[in-house]
Amino acid sequence: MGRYLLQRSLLALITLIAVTLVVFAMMRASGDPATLLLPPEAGPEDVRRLRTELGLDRPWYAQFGRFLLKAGQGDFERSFTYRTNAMNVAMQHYPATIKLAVTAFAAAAVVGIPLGVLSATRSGSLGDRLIVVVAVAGQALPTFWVGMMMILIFAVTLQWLPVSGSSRPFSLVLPAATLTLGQLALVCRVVRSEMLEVLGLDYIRTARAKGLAEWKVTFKHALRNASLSIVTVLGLQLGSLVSGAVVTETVFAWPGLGRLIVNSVFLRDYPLVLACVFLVASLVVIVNLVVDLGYAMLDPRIRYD
Amino acid sequence: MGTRLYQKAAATLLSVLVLAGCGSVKETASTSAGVNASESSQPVTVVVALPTEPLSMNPQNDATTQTTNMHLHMFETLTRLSEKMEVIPGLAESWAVISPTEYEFKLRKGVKFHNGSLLTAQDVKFTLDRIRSKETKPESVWQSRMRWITGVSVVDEYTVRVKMDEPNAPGLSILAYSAPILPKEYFEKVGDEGFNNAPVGTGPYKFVKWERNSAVTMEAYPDYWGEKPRIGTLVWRTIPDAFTRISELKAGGVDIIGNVPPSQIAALADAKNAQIAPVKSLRILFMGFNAKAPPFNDVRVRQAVNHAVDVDAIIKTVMGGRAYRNNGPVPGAAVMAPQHTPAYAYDPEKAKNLLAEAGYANGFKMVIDSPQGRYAQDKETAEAVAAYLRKVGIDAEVRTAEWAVYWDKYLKGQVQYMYVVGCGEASGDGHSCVDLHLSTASRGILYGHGSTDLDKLITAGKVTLDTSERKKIYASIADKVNKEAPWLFLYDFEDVYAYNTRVTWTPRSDERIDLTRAAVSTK
Repeated sequence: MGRYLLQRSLLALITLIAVTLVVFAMMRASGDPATLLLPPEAGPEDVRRLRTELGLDRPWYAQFGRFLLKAGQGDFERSFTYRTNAMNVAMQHYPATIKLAVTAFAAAAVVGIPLGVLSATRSGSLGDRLIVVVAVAGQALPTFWVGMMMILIFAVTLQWLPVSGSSRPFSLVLPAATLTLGQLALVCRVVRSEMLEVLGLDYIRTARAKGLAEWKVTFKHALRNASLSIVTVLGLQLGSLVSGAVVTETVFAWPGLGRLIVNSVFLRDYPLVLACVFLVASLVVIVNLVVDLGYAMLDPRIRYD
Repeated sequence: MGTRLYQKAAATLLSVLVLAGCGSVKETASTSAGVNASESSQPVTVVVALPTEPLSMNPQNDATTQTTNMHLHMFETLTRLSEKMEVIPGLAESWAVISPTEYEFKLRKGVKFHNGSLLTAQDVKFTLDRIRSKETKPESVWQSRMRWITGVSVVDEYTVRVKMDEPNAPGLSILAYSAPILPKEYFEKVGDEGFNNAPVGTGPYKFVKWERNSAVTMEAYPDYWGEKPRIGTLVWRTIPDAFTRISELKAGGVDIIGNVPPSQIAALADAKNAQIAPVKSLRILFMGFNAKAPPFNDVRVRQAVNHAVDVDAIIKTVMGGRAYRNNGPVPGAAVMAPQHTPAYAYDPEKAKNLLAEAGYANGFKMVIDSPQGRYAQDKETAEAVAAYLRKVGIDAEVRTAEWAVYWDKYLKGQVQYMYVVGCGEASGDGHSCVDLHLSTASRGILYGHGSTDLDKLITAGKVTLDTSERKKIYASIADKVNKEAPWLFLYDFEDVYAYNTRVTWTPRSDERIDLTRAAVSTK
């Protein structure tokens, strides 16, 4: 296991460097930020001076090398727009994203898995069909529309919940519910699909024939055997959520990382984009590692040397 | 059994979602009960929704209009702009023109910064030196706008002299928004980062806290030198989406919003607690021609386009009536705006005749480069213009690009035919849009718009200190530019604000939401 973890750590480092390099190259190809950062009356000399100050006049490999060297020391350079350390800016926005992501993920898992199991064990029933319709609708409905409807109904008309922001009581409810709906739909459908496949296998028939209680057949045997695929999907979803849900964050003015990344891309704030991507990539790598380790817990046949 | 399971599942879902909010029941905001407008002692909070997040609490590091707007409640400048954009005293109670290139400012005595220290001439010198210096790290975003100042000297504790490279009539207007005075001793002690976390100014409001990407809170400063504000606490919330801002206003979560799109105004009609407040903006929208190359190097073609487009109809349909036709380069709400500049009549036949005279009887193919969403209805306006041009035989299509890409292309002079640009006259004077877009020393050279004669007029407008003489100069500039038609002349925007009826407040043309003299009514 130790050797496995070491290998995964090295792979994680290589992944981070590769991701950063790709983002770095794409940002450089997208245009010069100097003109965007200066007021309208700035002239060519001002642009030249700013480019020198920001290090944009150096060759790209020198810029990237400098970035990696400083990142290794925990210094992610100064954001072009915020004019303060880029990683600090990213870290200030990240807790809100984590809060929203974890809440939506937990709600989707807690509700989606039982619904999916229910749907699979009652396959063909009215309840199953209802769950499938809700699941399909949840995936099909655009997030921004769901968010706007939530605001109109629960915040503006009924005034049960705040419209937006993150500092008022219950402010997490609507954005989390919006995100959960889409995630829930996917979890529910995957669980249903995997369970239906497993429930049709011979050993399930054997378990029933042996007289096992139905709940044991469902949860101890069927769900457990279906869990590897479910955990994979959940891991992918969590990875996606921790990178920030920009549409939800925009509609609900949720102060998370998704909106920050999009805005910094538009403003060509290279250090800030790189700091955010580095942060997100690190977390996604960790989530993937946890998922892989989870496989070993769920399936005793899987061993990591 | 099945029904119970469904009920449990529904209950579980509801519980998870409600518990996730964790806290006491309801209600909004930050808005406590209103008070009688004349009372200043009771705590009142007003919440303003801004579309973008502040980048810094140091006013020298952030030149975005929305943030400057907010900063000018905590910080003050030597001069101020009245609602009519006239220069009035600020921290300087008076000034004298020592020579055409030197002003002497007398500072108010007894003005305290929020940390209790007194304002002196040293703070003014520190601020103006820092904002102009290329050695400042990071360099101030206003540096290029303050280049006209060549030196600042302290005469005595409350007197400071500002030298400039040449007479600069708009200079006092520029000082009114671009150089809030900072406390020298405190800034040097805490540095740029420290100041960003705990800013100190002389304004009627002092900084309380900044929740990143969420809200900035400030409260009334009890030792303010001037008229005490009647609103106890201001909260500036970042809400990027227009729909959300409007929903917050309706739900009572915010009190004032700006940038209400024309399409959303109807959504406010049924709001009992809100009303809209339109105001003519100091921002102008126009479409420039590339006059360096055919076909638009011919003035007849440029005039033909101006005759081919029914700007009034575009204002009515695309802008929902929320714009003011402008036939020249000076925003209509600016101090130097001419009384009248003749409009190009909508006359497609005349347009065709002019095109034929210029040798384009069969029209030509062209592209209008436009941003999308940078200015209100920018792409839609460009598409409407393209449709009018097609009616006179010009095969026009619109090509949009993401702002950074579009701006880069524009600044490099790479637009081939026509582009869409807005210009905000932040000083309220009327000089800067003309200078920026038509002077050969600035962008006038990019697309062949400037000329020696026009340069002379623009310079005269800047260096002439007599207001009535300046107005005549800008009227001449407007007439000349109108005839030469380097642009398809379009309109000044109308800024639409919406606010809770409990707030007594007047919108301004310079996009500033000024709450220093606002009040809240209990009615």
